Amino acid sequence: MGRDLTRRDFLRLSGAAAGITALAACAPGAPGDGTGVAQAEQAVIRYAGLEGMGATVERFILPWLEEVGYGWERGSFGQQELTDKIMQSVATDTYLADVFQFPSNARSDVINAGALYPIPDFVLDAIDFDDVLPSIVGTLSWGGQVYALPYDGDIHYSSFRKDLFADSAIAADFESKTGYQLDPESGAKTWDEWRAIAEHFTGWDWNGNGEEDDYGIATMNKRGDTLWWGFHSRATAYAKHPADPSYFIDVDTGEARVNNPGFVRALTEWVEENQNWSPPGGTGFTYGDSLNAMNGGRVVQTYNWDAVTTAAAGEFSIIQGKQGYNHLPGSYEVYNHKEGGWEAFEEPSAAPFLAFGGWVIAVSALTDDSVIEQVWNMAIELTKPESGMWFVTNLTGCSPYRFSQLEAVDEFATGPLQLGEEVAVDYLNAAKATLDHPNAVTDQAFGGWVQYRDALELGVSKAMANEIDPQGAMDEVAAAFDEISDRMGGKERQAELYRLTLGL
Amino acid sequence: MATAQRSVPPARGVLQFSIHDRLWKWLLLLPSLLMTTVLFIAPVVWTLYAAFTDLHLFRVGVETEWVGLYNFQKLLGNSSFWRTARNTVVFMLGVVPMQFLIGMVLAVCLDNVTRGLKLFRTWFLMPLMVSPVVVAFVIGRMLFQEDIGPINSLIRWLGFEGIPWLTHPNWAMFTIMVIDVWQWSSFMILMLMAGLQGVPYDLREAASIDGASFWQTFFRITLPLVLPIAATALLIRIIDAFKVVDIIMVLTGGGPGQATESVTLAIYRAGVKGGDLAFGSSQAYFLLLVMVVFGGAFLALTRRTMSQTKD
Repeated sequence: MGRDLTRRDFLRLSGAAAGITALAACAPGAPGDGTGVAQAEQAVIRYAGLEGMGATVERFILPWLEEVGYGWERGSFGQQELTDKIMQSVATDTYLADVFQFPSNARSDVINAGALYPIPDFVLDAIDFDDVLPSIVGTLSWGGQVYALPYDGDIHYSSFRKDLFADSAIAADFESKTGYQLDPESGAKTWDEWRAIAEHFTGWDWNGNGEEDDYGIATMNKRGDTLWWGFHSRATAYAKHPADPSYFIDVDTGEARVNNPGFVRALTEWVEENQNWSPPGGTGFTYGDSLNAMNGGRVVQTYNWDAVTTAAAGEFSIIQGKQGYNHLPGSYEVYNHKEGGWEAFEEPSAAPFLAFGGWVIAVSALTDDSVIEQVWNMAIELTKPESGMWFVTNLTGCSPYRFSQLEAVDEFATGPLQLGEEVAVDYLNAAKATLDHPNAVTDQAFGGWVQYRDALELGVSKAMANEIDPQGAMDEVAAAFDEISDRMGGKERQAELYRLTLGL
Repeated sequence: MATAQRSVPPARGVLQFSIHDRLWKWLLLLPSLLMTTVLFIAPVVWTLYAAFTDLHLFRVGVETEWVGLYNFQKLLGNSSFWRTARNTVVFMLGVVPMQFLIGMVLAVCLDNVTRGLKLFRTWFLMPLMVSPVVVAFVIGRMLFQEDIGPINSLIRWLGFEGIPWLTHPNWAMFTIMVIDVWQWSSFMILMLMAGLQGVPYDLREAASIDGASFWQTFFRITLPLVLPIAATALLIRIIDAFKVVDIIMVLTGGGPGQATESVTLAIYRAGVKGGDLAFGSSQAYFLLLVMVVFGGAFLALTRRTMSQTKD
């Protein structure tokens, strides 16, 4: 069955045939030798990024580029389109841009294919790389070598209505009915508390709009949108044991773990919560819908990437200054997959999910030598500490990723975001508690992550629509995971890649 | 040489002209042949080849192998695929007849309109000019928003429960159909209006004088004469409906569960997004086969109907 034609050869031949005839000649300004060499005397740096984030990068970097006399071309893509373009250029070994942003989940696919320049030491020194949080360093590295530069520290924050939780009448009523105490400083400490809060705040007029259409939660659970992150943020506390590095698959055998009782319990509860205690349509919410429900004052708790920054913005929110933040809730019971049973803990065991892991900046291995120096200079300018501070303290979609940023209360409180001191402290503490947490769960980043994501979203979505029970859904997901692992080169190979993504 | 020329004098000039003519024809055809080969035939052949391999875009360091019919076997035994196939057929059967019906009724009504016809034509062109993604977002995600959308707000104001337009499997498919019907009925109206204008008025007038009712005239005279254009419009819409992807992606992402996932969306997910070009290609070929068979059967049926009508 084996043939000499490699996948890459095959794709190259096909790409060349089509490209020579139709595309290469038509592309205005395309590099003459196909490698992105800037032919003019002025060094031209080509950048590929998201529409919104790329525009922000351009706005930030253009004055500096003019000062140093570099040219600039920016390719702009939608989120899925950018990932597709990057993966296709990696797979076909063709030039896309000198510098591009990519989702850190794709690092196995991108770095493993030899698509990136390793980051030289002088660049790491220039951007004070030691200041970057270890959990973020993991998303930039492969096999101990750094291949990408930090830009965004994406994680899920638990956010809740601090003002309502601090209301003594509401708190007393809640305690008498549920036995739990509402804590305005931490929000729900366990998922059991989260559920009690969700149920308690559903169906009565706590927002004072005269209608009993208020709800307890809103989460991102639409298939094809951000369901993957919504579900795992809900599942990690049950399925990630502190003494075991494995979560998605077994780091030794590569066998899927997603149908163990920890995941099934999380799905069972998640379905119930979203069907009963979230607003109409809440079983098909995008991440934006869940944010809007929270910022619009319809629900009392959620978890999201941008829960802090959008809640602070007047045009998006009516709850400015009323939210509290924390890392995701934990659980007194965690499923121990190795031992094959639930294990009780005296304190809640949390396993904050480093959802998505953030966008990172990389330099293409196909960048021509004639511009590489200028490209590194630009990368330094974009990711040095001062620049990083600008990005995370403006409404750019970037979250903190440096120790120094987590200490910068004033910049967040009184800078462009105008969080105010109390919210800024809550926000930064929640970020620190998540990014520094010893049991934090790194997002899936071994090869083929998009396929694993689709498989899980299909199974979970079926359970959410009552097409199948949670155990059956997760059994289907596990079978799909195993099949994908086999297709990607075998379970053992995937386990090896998983260990690398975890830095083991 | 001269002897040879003399031996076949009549044929020589004809032959020379023929070669010259053929050469020019081929030279003139060459650009379009090249373009067709590179942009259509080559990808089609390439995709067919890929369907018999285990080609995966994102699998690094592993050679591509010939796997024979494995992808097709996997496809036929895959319950998810059959679900998407069923969804696609349900969608097609739901939207195309409805669009035809609406199109025919409105085209017949407008056939007698003499003033403002240009305005109506422009009006009906407008939905076609809007991107399906925009239509899905504006109508689907905003009007049918379950919590605070205007349609559910009206339903609640009337004292009923809001409808789970996008989160209940059956309602979600219905909503997608409504949006597609809204956008593409205009196409049917315009096509059928054009067809109706080609029906000689004196035929209908003669039938009317002979005492035929409106329905008799419509079914015995108008419809048979409009049939060629109607069949073309139906075929175009059937093919489009088989390939539906845009509004589903925006509205439901294929959910809830797998209730609205179409074959094309599944192909996109497997081949483009997931990088599994082999399995994606096998799905694409299956869809192509179904469309060719269905299209062929439809055309055969149409031809038979037309010949029976002529008889």
